[in-house]
Amino acid sequence: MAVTDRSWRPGTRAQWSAVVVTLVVAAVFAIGLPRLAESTAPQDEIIPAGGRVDEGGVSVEVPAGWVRKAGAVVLAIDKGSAGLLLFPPAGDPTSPADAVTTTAATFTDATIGEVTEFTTDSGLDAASVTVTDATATTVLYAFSDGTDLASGQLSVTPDEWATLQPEVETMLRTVEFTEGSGS
Amino acid sequence: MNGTDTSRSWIVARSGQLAIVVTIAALSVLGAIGLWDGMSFDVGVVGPTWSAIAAAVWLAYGALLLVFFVRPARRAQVLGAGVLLALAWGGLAALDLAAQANGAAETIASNVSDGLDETWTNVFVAPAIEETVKTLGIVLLAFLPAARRFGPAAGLVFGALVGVSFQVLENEIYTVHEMFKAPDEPGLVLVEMLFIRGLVGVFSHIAYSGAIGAAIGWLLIGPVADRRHRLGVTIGVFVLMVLLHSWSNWASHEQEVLMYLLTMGVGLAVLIVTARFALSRSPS
Repeated sequence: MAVTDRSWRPGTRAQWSAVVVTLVVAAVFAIGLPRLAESTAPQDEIIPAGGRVDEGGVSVEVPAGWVRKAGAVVLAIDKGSAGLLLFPPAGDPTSPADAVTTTAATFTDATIGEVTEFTTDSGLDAASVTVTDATATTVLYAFSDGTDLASGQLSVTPDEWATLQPEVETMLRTVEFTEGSGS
Repeated sequence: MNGTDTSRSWIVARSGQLAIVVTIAALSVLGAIGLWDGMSFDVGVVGPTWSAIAAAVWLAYGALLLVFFVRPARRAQVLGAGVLLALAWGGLAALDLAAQANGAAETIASNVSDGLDETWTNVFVAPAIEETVKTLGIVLLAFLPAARRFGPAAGLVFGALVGVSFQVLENEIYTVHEMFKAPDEPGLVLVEMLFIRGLVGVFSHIAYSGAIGAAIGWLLIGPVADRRHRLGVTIGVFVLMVLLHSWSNWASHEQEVLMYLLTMGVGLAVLIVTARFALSRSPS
């Protein structure tokens, strides 16, 4: 059935209206909602945390909700010591998360240490990691931009760690950090 | 587009048309930047080779899906520029807008209530957001001479194009992220993702947006006097597709395999019925 109606002739005004509606919706989705999300975030983003060292290796657990609250997390493990760094959500110009991300990404071809467990829960609220027999310096990480979490493990050679270490240590001085204490 | 001067080739002759093209292009460029920003870390870890292999596989997959829309595209005499704009909108602008809004909605839900987790946003919020942003692109294309005969067939084609590009880029992002989490087995991850998202989950965005596009085309070419009724039906189709999307997301998230397969069967049925309807309502 050919029912084409010749009346459908969108004019310039209608076209501009479609553009305006599109831009308004885009602004709401890309600017309004993220800002609303920021405004609902809890104020205590920096949370003290710690790792645990026992005979089974090094393990760090991020309790449920912490990743989401913190916005960005770096787990750094180096043979018997464990650190957990929590940063304000990405977008904060003072956050070093981007720098860490860039640095960590350069170590992808390094030797792999033995990570026996690295899990996040289905809601990406919590992360836990256990490392045994870390033959190389191992950096384990969980990044979040406040809306999503990327997680995994990277291992670095001692030489590579020498490059990464000052940066991590700088960050250690700027956030609350406990080493080797119970999580 | 029917009712416009279709004797010309693709020429942006009016300021309104130019504004629409610029809007689609600008939001697509912003979308590309945003999506790359979100996945660049994963790509850096996975490496360019496997990221590119996954991208090539998903692009081939998308091209294969679009073969099924050649007939309605010929019927509607869809123009190449319209195809490019639809693909850009779905895979770049719509996907990035949806990603930002979905993430924000999940954060808001998490912050305001401990009981509202990602399941809530996946099932109740994301489908509405994603169908809205995809539909915006279809509507914009309906306001352009993107096809010489705009109607249900053109709407179906543009909807499918938007849906396929959304689906392909989304699959690529998910695949690279899964490779990132299992860096020793990128090939296995790709095969798994092809099976889960490519084969089992094939009739999702392509079906939802295709049906909505056809409904929009049907709305616009109908008699003006009948347009209120048609608008109601079009809105109804949109709501139904959001609900189908929600059902599918729920089944996927809860790993209800049979239920998920059922939602894909419904998606296929939607696509078949829509295609038959669109071809029957579009002049040959």
